[in-house]
Amino acid sequence: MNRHGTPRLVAYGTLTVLGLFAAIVTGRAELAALAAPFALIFAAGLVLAETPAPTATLRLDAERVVEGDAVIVDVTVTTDVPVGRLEVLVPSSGDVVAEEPDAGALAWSGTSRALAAGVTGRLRTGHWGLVRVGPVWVRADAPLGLVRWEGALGGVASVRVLPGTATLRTMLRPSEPRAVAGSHLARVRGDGLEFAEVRPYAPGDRLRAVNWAVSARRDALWVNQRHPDRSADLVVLVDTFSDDREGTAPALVRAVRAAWLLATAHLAGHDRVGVVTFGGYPAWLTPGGGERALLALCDRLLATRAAWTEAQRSVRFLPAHVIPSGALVVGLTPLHDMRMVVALADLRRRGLDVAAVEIDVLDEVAVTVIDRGLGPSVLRLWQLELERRRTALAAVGIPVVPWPADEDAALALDTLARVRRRPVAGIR
Amino acid sequence: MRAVLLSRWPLAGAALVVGALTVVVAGVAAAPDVRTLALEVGVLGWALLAVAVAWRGIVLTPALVGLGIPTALLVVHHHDTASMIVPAAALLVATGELAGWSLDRRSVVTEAPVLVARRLASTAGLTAGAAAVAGGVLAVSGLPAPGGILPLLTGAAAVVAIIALAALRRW
Repeated sequence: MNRHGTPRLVAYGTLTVLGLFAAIVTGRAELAALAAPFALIFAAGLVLAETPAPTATLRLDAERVVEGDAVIVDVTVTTDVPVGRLEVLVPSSGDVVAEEPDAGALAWSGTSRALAAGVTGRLRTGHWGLVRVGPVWVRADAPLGLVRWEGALGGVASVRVLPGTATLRTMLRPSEPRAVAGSHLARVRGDGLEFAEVRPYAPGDRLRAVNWAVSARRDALWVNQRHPDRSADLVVLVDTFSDDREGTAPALVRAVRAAWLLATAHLAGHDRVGVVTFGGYPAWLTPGGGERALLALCDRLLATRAAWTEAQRSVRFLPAHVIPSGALVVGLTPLHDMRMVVALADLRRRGLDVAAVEIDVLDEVAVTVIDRGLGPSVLRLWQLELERRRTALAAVGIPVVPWPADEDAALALDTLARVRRRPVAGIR
Repeated sequence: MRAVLLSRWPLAGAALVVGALTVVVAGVAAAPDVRTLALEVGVLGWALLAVAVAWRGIVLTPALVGLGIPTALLVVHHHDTASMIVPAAALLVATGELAGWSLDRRSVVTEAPVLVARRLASTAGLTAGAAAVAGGVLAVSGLPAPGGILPLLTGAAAVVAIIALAALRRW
């Protein structure tokens, strides 16, 4: 805690010295009488100012919340000596708004007794990300308020704001599932739940596979064949190219939201999920499954930032294990950067199963166009360019599903699942 | 409305009003030959007070000195000014307290109602106390004391210095 004198301390001290000096020089007691109150306040303010040793505790009611949820913040500040006045300010970073105690700031003031009993605030989270709360900044005024101590106490607490709770009705179906059991129906025949067809009995078939109704009609043994349930590898390619040098990336918030939705749905279906943030700062997470992969994905996605770059970016620079052969690759992109379009096409040419969700941010682009004084023809030209890019992707066999701004991510991904119901054969 | 009342501007306004009152009281009572000078210095002090409460708190010291000079001129140029000293001391202390309170309110932290009440009581108490102390010093100075005012003031300064040193040791 740093100690400061308030402006009153200096002013009262100066008035005391000047008043007494003038009284001595002029020999007039009235000047001493004028300075005496300041001298007394000055002396009393210093005598009563005992250095406190405050301690602060900061507690959040959750470590993970979903976008839009509230986070309750409990703060307790105790001091070993009574102080005249305590101010407590808890800064927070990330997309959060303080709702209580005061709109805009987690800040309290009061007596040391009131703050020792604990105070509670509430933060309302905005979009996904990592929110840091703390440390607790404390300002303690001595009695009479001439001396003040202030400093940061305690540590920083953090809360992860997860991108939404929506669920997918249908998962994306890979063209080439893995050999491991999972939730996707394989095109091959084998052990599974989903009925595929019947065929004549062959030595080695199990007795429980016999379809007795068909066998009775055909006067021979026929057995059921089923589609085995297999798992798949899903790699989500998030476009993190920013549109300008200021780092504007209006699609990023929605892209991460959709990536999280896809990841949680497919991890719950026993698939392996990986993520590649492709743009200013390329980063990746090798496909994995289970709770551990979910937590790693959560951290990776929450750390996603868009950045401007003119450097060459290509999937050639990604390690081979990041996108395994047979993986389904889903690109989440506004198609604003040609390097992303080329990357998706490259992956498709490697024979991977690739799909894209085009995040529609035309409204934001229109606002920018108007702000910069450009005419509507610029916007139309840009729309034509986007159409050209869509056509280029479609030409190499990549289905592109638009995601309008007013539509939920789950709806766009369900549309993608419907479009991909008939898997496209790989280009070799 | 509550936010405006709890903001620092009403307090800054009150400090300026009380500061102006200090200058006016001393300026009106001053002799004609020093009245202009007293008012000029007082107005300068008042302007510095405005700067202090609105912008730079560090200017509070010259502002209070400037506000006190008209009273000091009054004392130097008149012989019977005891009746003026008590209200002048109270007004100066009230100005300093209100200005200090206004500066404290620059914080983003809203002041709790209990603190507002406490500060209000403290300001009123210090103002009244200032009047009492000034009156007490004037009363004591009227008593016959050997050696005159010089030993008295030296003793008072020594007491203040000892108390200040004792306080510094506690930090």
